[in-house]
Amino acid sequence: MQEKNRPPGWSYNPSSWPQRLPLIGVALIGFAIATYLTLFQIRVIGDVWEPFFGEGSRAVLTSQVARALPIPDASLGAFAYLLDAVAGVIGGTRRWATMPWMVILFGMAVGPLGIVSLFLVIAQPLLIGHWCTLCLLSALISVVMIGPAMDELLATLQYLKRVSLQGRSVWRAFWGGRDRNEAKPLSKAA
Amino acid sequence: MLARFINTLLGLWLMTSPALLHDSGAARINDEIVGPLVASFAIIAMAEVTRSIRWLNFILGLWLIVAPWLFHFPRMPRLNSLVVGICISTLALIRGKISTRMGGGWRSLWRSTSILEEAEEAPSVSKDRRHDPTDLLFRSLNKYLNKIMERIHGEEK
Repeated sequence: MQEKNRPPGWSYNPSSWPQRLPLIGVALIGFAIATYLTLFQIRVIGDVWEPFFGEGSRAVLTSQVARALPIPDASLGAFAYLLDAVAGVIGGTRRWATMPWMVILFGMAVGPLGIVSLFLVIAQPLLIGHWCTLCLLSALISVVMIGPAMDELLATLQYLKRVSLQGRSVWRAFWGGRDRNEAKPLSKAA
Repeated sequence: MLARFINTLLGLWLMTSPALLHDSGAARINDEIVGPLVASFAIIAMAEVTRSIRWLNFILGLWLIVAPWLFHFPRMPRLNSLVVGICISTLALIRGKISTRMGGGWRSLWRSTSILEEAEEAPSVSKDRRHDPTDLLFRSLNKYLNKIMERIHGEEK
């Protein structure tokens, strides 16, 4: 079943569940951590877990950098992780062809989240002068997700390229549509 | 995988070394910026689909080699930056195993021919390796080292 859903020229199917489930699981862990940090930032909980850097977490989470936006920065992280998990779970094992917009949304959520996390990791010692264990762990999770998520994005972009080369509507294909006069669905041409 | 793993550790080392070695000024700032970048790129390059990200670490390694002279690091941070930079760039050259086929990879997106046609004549992994100059370099280096080892063992007898 899964074999049949491989994109043309691929030795595996990047939209199969064994490929997607680990990412969804990791995103949910990231969501839990970011939610916990948000609760501290909006003062629902009074203390934050910090095993290594003493007052580091408190200093980082209450810093100018963390409060640069009108909402706490951890809440943005929580939102991005939730988007990762939801965009990771929606769609079947052929979604690289049947739901390109969802795969691209997933890639767009995973990529920038990692980049923003990386910026925040650099900001911790440089602008704030402290480290925060859970912030680092959250950043690690978002960076770990990038590589394994990109194969599905590649498969979808290749599919859209194929559609464009065959002179069909990329816009329709992006939303999972097919041409009416198509003999067989383009996604099955392999 | 091992090359990527070691580069991740080297990135973490750069993150922690300013505190452990009591660096300050440009050396500290440089390590605190480059460290997380190296570690992240190494982790991203672990996946076969994003293996090319290793080249960013190759560039960052070169940067670590020249930075001490551009910003006049003191002796200890200079040595640290130089040695770590050489290690990172060297390890980043190792392409490692690519065991999956991915429809021609990212390159296929910029080609004007159909991926379908390319998929038909998809190059085998071994053929692909032959065209990688770094892989060629490491294999000839390996052959050379083997010869030296044979000679040493021969003399022992």
